[in-house]
Amino acid sequence: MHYAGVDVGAITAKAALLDDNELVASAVIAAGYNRVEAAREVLAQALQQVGLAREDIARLVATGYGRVQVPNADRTVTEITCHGRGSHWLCPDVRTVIDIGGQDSKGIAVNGVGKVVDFVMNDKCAAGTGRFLEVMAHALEEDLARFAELSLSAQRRVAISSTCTVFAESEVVTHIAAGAPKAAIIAGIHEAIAARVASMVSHIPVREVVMLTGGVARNGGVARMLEERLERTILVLPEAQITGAIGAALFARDG
Amino acid sequence: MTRSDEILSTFQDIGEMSLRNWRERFPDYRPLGFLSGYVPEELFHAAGFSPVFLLHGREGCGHAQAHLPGFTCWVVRSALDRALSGELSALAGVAFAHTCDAVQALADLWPRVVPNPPALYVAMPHHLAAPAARPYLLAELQRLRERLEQITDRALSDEALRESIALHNRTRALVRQLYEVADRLPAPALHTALQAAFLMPKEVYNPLMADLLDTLEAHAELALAKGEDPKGSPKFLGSQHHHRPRLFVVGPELADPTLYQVIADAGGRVVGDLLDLGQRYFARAVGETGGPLEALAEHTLAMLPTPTKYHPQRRREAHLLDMVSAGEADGVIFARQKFCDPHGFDVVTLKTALDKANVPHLLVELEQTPHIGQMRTRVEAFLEMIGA
Repeated sequence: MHYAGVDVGAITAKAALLDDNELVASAVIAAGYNRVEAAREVLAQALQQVGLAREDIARLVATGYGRVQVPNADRTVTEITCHGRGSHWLCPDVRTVIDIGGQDSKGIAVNGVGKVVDFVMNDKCAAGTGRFLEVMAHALEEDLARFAELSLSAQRRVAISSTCTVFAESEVVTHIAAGAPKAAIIAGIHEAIAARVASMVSHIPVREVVMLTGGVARNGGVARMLEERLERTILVLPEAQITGAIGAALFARDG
Repeated sequence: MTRSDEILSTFQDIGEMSLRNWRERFPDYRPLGFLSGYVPEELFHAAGFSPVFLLHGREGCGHAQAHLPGFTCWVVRSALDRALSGELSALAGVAFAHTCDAVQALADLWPRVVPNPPALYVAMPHHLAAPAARPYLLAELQRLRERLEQITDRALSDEALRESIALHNRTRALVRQLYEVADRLPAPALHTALQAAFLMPKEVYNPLMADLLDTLEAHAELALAKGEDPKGSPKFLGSQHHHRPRLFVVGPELADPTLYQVIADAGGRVVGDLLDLGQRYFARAVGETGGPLEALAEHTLAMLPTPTKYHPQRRREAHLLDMVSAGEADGVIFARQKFCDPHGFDVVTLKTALDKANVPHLLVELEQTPHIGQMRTRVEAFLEMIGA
């Protein structure tokens, strides 16, 4: 039997397929404008990897911001609950999950069985999210992968004090005009995100093991600066971006 | 359409109606706006007016921005906006009582920038149990009575005031009954029916509410006769959820109707609240013996204090814990209005008390236009967390 989890976020759509024991396939695509189509496509890509068809899926659980738009889902579960469940499945010792997605960032406290016991979520503001990184990378003409690398190589960091994406961008322009090195500006941007997320997460008890999930986990710069801010080691797994989809697939497997 | 649907739909229409159309809808009554949970509605009613709370509208002309700082809550901003756009010109006046600095500032600003309707003000004591509180408030109510007599050019008799008190006590009793069946009400009906109490003449509202309650009671009896549990009957509630978590809503005034809809959609139900214009407002009747003005003063001082008022024996956190326990609530949702400082500080005290009692809670911030997607995620995740 196979079970599917589809996580349609603000920027990307993710799918995870489980059999009775393990993760057998996963896919990540851009969510684009048409969420229904994105959900269909990301699931099709995951199925294709293992030569399965939609009929081979016993149950499908949808999660993420676009969860209600996923066609033929058996049920929906919020990404908060799914990230808690998925991270616990990946590492049973996890007690705190920091999920930084395209539009939202969340701090999730989980117990020993992966159940959410508390959570915090950002306001309707893009600062401290993947969108903030995208806007800044665009302003500095770097792709996202190189953007993270540069932040790690910086000798110094400029201070970005604005907590708003729009104002932070104009602050970055000021630094560019003042001739600050690009790496220093980029490092400052990463620090600003880490500061914002760390302050939000401090509203729930941050206990080890702390895991970073969501698309921004792929950015090593944010992970490192979050470690500095929280004074804790942060676990980043290769499955970080599909943790929510895995959680959804686990709920599908539960029935 | 059942009779209860019909009444709820009337309440809903009135909730969405512009105050420009109020007089056309209720031609026999004279509306007077108010903007605080401490305004003595009975006094205005006895003077011949129908008090109408200035619930924040969704739209605004934006003119208020020129007069108020950006960190003013939407309730106050929208009241001024509506006045400047002319929506309130049919009101005989707007009454303010101190609930917070923003309402106070608006009361001070009003005579300078709003040509019509005129502002009326009731100064509220802060320490509600202080020895001076009662004589102070009584003198203030007497002053207001004289001002109303001046405006209307007729005496405001004790007899008229007693009649108004009886009418408003009837509303209070009906709303208390509404809370008793809150867990059986379909989706946002609690909010709709509560809101209507502040927007309609009580003479029109009371019979409709009595009718609504009778119909709901009949529904519940019918469900019982069929062997269904009326408190949890999925059929009656129109939901596929078997266990519908019981929630308490805490915040200023009346929380946004969107929140009630989101809670219902997520499978929860609101069984009670600690809102300035919610359960606390209707909890006690005004005394109907002795001097009516004295009874009004006593009543105002005896209500559960809002966050800017103090009463050593009436602590909000203790009250909330009692209510949560009596209502068998599974969790509490704080509906905080953005930029509302008093309730913002209040959340901290209440959260601490809830944490100690192991009652789960969620904070949702409300703004002019609620961000429904995020609100849904928060509320759904909260219900998933508390084990829906």
